[in-house]
Amino acid sequence: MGDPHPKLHATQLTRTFGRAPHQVDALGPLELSVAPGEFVCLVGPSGCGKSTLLRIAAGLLRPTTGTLEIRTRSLRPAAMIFQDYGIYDWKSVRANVRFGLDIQRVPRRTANARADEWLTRMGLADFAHAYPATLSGGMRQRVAIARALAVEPELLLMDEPFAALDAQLRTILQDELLDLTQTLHTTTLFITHSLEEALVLGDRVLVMSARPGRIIAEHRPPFPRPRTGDIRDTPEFTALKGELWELLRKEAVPA
Amino acid sequence: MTTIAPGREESVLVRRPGPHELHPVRTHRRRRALELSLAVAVPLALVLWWQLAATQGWIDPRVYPAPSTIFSDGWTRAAAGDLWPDVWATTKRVLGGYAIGTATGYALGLLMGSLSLVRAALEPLLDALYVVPKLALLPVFLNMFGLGEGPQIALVAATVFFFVWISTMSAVLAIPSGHRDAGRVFGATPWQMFRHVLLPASLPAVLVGARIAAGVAVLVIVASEQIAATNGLGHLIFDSRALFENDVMFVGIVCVAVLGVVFSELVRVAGRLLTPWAPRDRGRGQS
Amino acid sequence: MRRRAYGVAVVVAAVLASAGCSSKYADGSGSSGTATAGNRTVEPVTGCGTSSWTDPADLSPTRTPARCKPLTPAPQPLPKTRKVTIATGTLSAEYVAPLEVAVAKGEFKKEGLDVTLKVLPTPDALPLLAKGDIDAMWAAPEAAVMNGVKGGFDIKWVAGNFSPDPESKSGLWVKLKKGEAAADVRMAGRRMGTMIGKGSVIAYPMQKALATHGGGLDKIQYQQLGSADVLTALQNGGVDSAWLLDPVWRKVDDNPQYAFLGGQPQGEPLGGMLYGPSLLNDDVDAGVALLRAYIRTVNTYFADDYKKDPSFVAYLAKLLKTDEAVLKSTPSLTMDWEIRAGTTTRLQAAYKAAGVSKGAALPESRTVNRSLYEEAVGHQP
Repeated sequence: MGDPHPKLHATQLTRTFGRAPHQVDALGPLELSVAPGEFVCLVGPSGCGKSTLLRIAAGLLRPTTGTLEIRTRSLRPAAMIFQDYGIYDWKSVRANVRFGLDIQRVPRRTANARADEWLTRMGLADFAHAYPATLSGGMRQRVAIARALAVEPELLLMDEPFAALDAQLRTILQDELLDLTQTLHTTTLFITHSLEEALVLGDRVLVMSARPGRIIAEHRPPFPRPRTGDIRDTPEFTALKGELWELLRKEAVPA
Repeated sequence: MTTIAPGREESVLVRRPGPHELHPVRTHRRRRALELSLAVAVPLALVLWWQLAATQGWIDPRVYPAPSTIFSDGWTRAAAGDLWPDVWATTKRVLGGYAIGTATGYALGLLMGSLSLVRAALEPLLDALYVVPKLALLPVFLNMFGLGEGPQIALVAATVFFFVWISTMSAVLAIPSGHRDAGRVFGATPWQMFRHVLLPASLPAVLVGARIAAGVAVLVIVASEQIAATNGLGHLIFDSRALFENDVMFVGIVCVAVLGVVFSELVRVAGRLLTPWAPRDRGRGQS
Repeated sequence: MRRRAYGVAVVVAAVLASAGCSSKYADGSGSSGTATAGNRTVEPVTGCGTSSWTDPADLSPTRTPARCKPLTPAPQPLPKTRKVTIATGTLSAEYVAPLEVAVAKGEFKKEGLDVTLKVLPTPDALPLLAKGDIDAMWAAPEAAVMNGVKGGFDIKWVAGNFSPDPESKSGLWVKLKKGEAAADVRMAGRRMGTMIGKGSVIAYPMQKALATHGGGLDKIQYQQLGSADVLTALQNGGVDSAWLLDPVWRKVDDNPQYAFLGGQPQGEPLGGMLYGPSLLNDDVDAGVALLRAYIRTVNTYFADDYKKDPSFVAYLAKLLKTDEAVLKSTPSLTMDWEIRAGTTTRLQAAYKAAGVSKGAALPESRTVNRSLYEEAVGHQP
């Protein structure tokens, strides 16, 4: 909190959609500060503006008022992982992972090497030349993660990446991601509906209100790094989860 | 939902393996053999039926020649070298018009699909022209290009253009925004976005339009050759009709049909090669 | 499975075997005419004397056409009124006038015939005539008709229509090149615009006209155009020669840039009435009655220069829905219901030269039947 050189800093951030009289206040006013290397999870009810915040951070949207600052050396510091339609059906797995590097015009040989490295890391080496249509949902999200991380982003944005997967696969991928982020220490903004997911993965968990979304609570899960998925079974986990659910439930009930 | 029939004894209902489970390889092979033989036998049966009808006089063979007559007439023509020049003339026109129509339709479709200003400028005009029967424009083309190949190719090109343009534009517009977002976040330039995202994403739908256009192109050339050409299969068909030579007319019709099928299949194969990732359509046992 | 395959094989074998059997549409010979010539008694007809019939072998261009007294041959009404459909390519051309006048003046009705004139182009009318769906065609023995007869259909040319006036210049016109005189014109390699297709009867006069100018039907490039476009194309150079019909040739008649090389031959009709099986075989009485009415119309209204009478010209203009001035600009046609000997042979030779017909020419016995018009004027064979 209050890092003098935050990686990401949002001030008085709001976003509205549409024009009067059908205007929708989607987000804000919101203040947020993310330290370098911090893994921040955002939980909130549907429609509270979490995705909007992420899209502003990614550069896909501009705020209506306020600013969002990112301290970075490059023009494109962010890499984003979407819920679906993320990876491209017409590129092979390897070409997909290489996509960000191709955009940056990294020489093909280097790009291929880096992509292969990530494929191996994510357990996709056998599928390098397959097309995504032949892969399962879990494999596809692994490809998406590999693609995002292959460009070694300064800021990682993840928009409910595991929402489309079944519960078992979800748990497995959470564990994999946990392992990965603890090695890389990339600054991450992670959006999820699942409190459990947020508590397992995050250094900080921010609870957002219903639309227009504002941050109403902030918690630091008291689990030291490096963690594993076993923390799910601890009593502190269950207690914290219960506490946060009480907060969230009030916001989630439709007005 | 169970219906309890009164007075029925309780018995055991068994789910047991069937032939497909017990002998999977044999069943599959038999099934494939059956499909293949049907694919061959049904058209063959129809041709034989036609032959029978003609020889038995159920239909008038002077007006509807028997397949054997058509075949022998066609063979004689082909052997004498009379058939090939017409086939080649028609094929040249179809290919030329198709190439021009596809190229322009694709280019304009991509442009209008990706740039909303261009779409706003051109869409009303093209939508209006889309519904004009292109054959009605033949006199206009005759004035513009004079007699010769020009109006024929222009007509085919105009017809094909609209099919390809519409399927391209709608394909590009239908690309889920998630695809574009991913590209934008990685910082793709407009050209990179086009090359990596828009072009490949729209390609399968474009190829469907291209295949339809292939069939229509052959249709249009036959009609146009009747009016404004001195050779070609369409000209052969209508010329022989004017001379009351029914068997020659049917030779022409059969040739045109074959040309249409071959061309359409070629486009399909080309499409398959261009889009190796697309799911195969399920015709003919998954080729 | 075994039994099914066996059954299929039996069916296929049966089909192939029967392919050898013949059908009721026997080849070539066509159904033999039962009630035509020879079986019918011909009575002499009042008003039709020796001038009512000329020897078909007489091909002189100055021959006087056959004529009877006006209002003859007298009507011989059929016991029951019969409906007859005649197909024609147009209703506004002058050569259709005798039929239209016959309908308008009730000449067909006097014979007990209820005649409808239907506008149908030849490619559409011919199959109907061949099948018997229509009774007659007012057209010409063009290549399509010859092909139909060859194909086994029963169609015959039974009466002529007209031959042109000596003053008429309907026919082959060329645009003269600089310093060229008409006699010097070489047709080979020229482009000709024509409204009529390759298989038309004008192939025959065209061949004659081309022969004297170094062209053959196969040495010319044809451009089929609409009637309005033929003259335009000739004038603006799209084609360098054209077959111009009445009255289009008038527009270039006094222009020294254009020359007339020849047209339809004098004294030889090239078209007229075609009959199908219904009037050739099923109801010959009606066939004769139809021709009788036609011949009577010619004798009464079109006997000689019918355009001398201004009131008749006005009547014709209204009937044909055309302009009086247009009618008056060209000379009267010489109406002629007879058919010259050898016309169809010469026509077929021209079709062969034009490349629209193959194989041996049909003999006159299969293409022409004069007995019907001969019976109508009471000529004993």
